[in-house]
Amino acid sequence: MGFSTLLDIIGSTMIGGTILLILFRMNDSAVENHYLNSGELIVQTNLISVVELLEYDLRKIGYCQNWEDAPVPSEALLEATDTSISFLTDVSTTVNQFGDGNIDTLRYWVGSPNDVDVRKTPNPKDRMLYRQVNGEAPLYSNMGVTQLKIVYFDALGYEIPVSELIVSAAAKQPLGVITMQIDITVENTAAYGDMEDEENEVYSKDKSAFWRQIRLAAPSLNNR
Amino acid sequence: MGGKAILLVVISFSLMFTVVKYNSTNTTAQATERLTSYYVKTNAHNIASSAANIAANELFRNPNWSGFGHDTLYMNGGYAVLTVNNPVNAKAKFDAKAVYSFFYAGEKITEESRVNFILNATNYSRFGYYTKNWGTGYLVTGDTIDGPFHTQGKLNTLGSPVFLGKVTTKAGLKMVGNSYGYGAANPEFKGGYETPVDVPFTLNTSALEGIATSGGKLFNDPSGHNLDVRLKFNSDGTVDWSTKKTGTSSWTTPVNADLDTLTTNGVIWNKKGNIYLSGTVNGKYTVGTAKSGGSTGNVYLEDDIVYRNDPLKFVSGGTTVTNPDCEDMLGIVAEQQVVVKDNAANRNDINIHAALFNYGGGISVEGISSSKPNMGKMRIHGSLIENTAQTTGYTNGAGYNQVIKYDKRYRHSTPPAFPSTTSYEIVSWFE
Repeated sequence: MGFSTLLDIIGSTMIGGTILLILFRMNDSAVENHYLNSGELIVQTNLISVVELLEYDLRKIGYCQNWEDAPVPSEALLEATDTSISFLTDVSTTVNQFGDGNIDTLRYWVGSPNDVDVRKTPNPKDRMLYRQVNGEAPLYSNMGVTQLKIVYFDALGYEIPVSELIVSAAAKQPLGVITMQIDITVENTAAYGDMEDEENEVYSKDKSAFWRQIRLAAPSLNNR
Repeated sequence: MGGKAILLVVISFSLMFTVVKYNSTNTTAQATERLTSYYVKTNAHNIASSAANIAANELFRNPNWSGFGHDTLYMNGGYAVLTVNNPVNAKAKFDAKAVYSFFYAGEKITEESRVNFILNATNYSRFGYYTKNWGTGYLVTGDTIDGPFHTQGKLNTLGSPVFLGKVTTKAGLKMVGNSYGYGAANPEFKGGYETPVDVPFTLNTSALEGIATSGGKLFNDPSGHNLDVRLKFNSDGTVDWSTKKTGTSSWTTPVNADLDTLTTNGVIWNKKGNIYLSGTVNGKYTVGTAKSGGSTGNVYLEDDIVYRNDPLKFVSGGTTVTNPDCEDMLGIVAEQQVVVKDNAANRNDINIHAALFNYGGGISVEGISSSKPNMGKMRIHGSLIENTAQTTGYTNGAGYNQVIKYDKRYRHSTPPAFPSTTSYEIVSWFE
């Protein structure tokens, strides 16, 4: 084995090693990109699922298939805070999409980021979203909701402070809510490469999705 | 040897990257597809909602509207199919089923959405308070109006009165604040506010007379005189009735009659004259009178006129719910107005359970003046419909302190043949 052969081996090893390093880096990038895209898909899917669910139910505030039994519009909302809402409606069933004709109480709320179930996830801000029909056990899912904020407005378009709504609900008086602004932010519960940094709140900042809608509180009864 | 190995490694990685790239692209595409799907669903829903709103608007403008002449509306790249059927206890049910299609990456995505609404005649009794003429008076801080409110005039508020039901006006709203010791202009419309809404004030007395003639009880003096009729309802389902010619003083001997026999459809109507009313109602009836001249067309309340059970159950905070034990219902229709008689029975509170229809004026108190003594409370549990509000009490305490509480059953149920408007309203909206 001559000197030139030795040079060939050293040269090809160096070139091969460089190519391997490049390939490893490319592999790392590909994996990262794949995870990021997957994370984005998860965020988008979760957001759309949450929004579709909320829209479907909130459109029916105050609705009842037996219209004679529908609640008085001003009394359709039972309780309202910036993170929860409870209202009267006729919940659709798989048998009858228009409801069974009996008034139900439907409640939505988000849990705390410190709840046991969501503390298992790397994202420190995600919360459980709960949906409860009448007195049944609440159904819940961690869809990566980090914000569910509801702002309420009266007939003249003025914001109603949540403290007033709480007092009215406790006294079983009409809440006076005519329109609502609903803000939802969804983040990945376990995004790729992110580190928990509560102080700077950098988790998944570039992997969150936001949705906002302003709607009538009780469109089904607005004409009465 | 080394070169071949590198070549194999590069080929292997290339294959791997190809797979990863494919998956990555696929994932990105799926995220877009999710949004596209939501966009298509939203568009379909918007089309259905718009079509339903267009149909509803046509019906508000013309109650006899029967459709566009075609059942498909094209809009925003999709179309909606309108269908109509007649449900029980309602005028009509409109169903707008929308279809929207969208091409994404060469693939056609189609979504369906539906909105339907039920339409019914607007009955005056469903208003907690209807007044054709509001005038120049104000509702002020401390006033609470229960149930839906409507006026054909402009509503004036001073400070922050509370409206528990939906408020509609034809001529708008004037909010005044920081005057006469009242606070800022901040009326509370708990059930919403809408203007302009036109609900004309009409009364078809010949229709009521016809209903009373066929299956009800029609009082009519055979010699053509104006007739006064006295009705005292009894809790056992009977009524003691007597009559006299208007302007005379002699009542006939009271006749006790079973109401199921006296009026099978629940309508008791005086062709022309006045009605004197009191008692405890057992059943569902509408009592009223037409006018003929200036001193007729009135329903005089001689004492309490109440149901066997109060239609309201009072709960905490001063609010009320419907009392399930109350099955009785009364409509009082006066072509002129309902008047509380100035007598001993009425000088210490009066309780009225009824929907009161005052076509010529408003509920009033006979001989009321600021020098009269305090007569306690006038409690109306039902609804009040009037042409023009009248004075029932004064701020110095004379007369009555009026309390009107809405009987929520009137939202969807009415006393027999109680007057309706010529327009319709949406009573249910599903989307």
